[in-house]
Amino acid sequence: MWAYEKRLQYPVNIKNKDLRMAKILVTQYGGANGELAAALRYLNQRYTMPDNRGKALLTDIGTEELGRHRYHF
Amino acid sequence: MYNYNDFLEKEKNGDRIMSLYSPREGYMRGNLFPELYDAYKNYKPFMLRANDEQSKMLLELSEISFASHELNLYLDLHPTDNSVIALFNDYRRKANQIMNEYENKFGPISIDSDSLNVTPFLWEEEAWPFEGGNK
Repeated sequence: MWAYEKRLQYPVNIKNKDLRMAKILVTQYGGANGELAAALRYLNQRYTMPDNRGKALLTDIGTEELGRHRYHF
Repeated sequence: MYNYNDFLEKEKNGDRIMSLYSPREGYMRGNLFPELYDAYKNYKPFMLRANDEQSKMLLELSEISFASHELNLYLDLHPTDNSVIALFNDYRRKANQIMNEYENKFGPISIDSDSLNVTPFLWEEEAWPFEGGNK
């Protein structure tokens, strides 16, 4: 299970709107090989890892990937 | 120049990573390990500046928890590295301490915070990070 922290991983200060950049970011985040897809794969495939290191690593990396989406939006 | 094969060789020979960036330098680059960091052309990492006390405390919290998370990922693969475990615990303790101080002054970051002992429900009242809160 996960904990939510009410803060961003890195500060955001958007001065100008950039629609093209926003579209690119969304494809990177939500596309077929995007971070969201990767995070879900990590978090669902960790159950079948043969050793502890694999389980721990996939859990931690998947958690971090999920946490990052907060600063995409 | 970043060379992952060198890194793997060192690992096999039992040489542990000895050099690490400080939390602040690591946070600016997004990477705590100088041997794994490869700068993009001549890009210089952006110098974050905190202007008021809230930003300063939040920046410190971000840096220390970033460093502790990077060491977390390293320790997943090297669970027996004692010096890194000691460093990880040092950062973890400091991050918890800063988080408590921040929450006492500026409201909750985690739902388990002691600062939620007030009416109305502060978790919902304070601005969310995606609306500009907790900057």
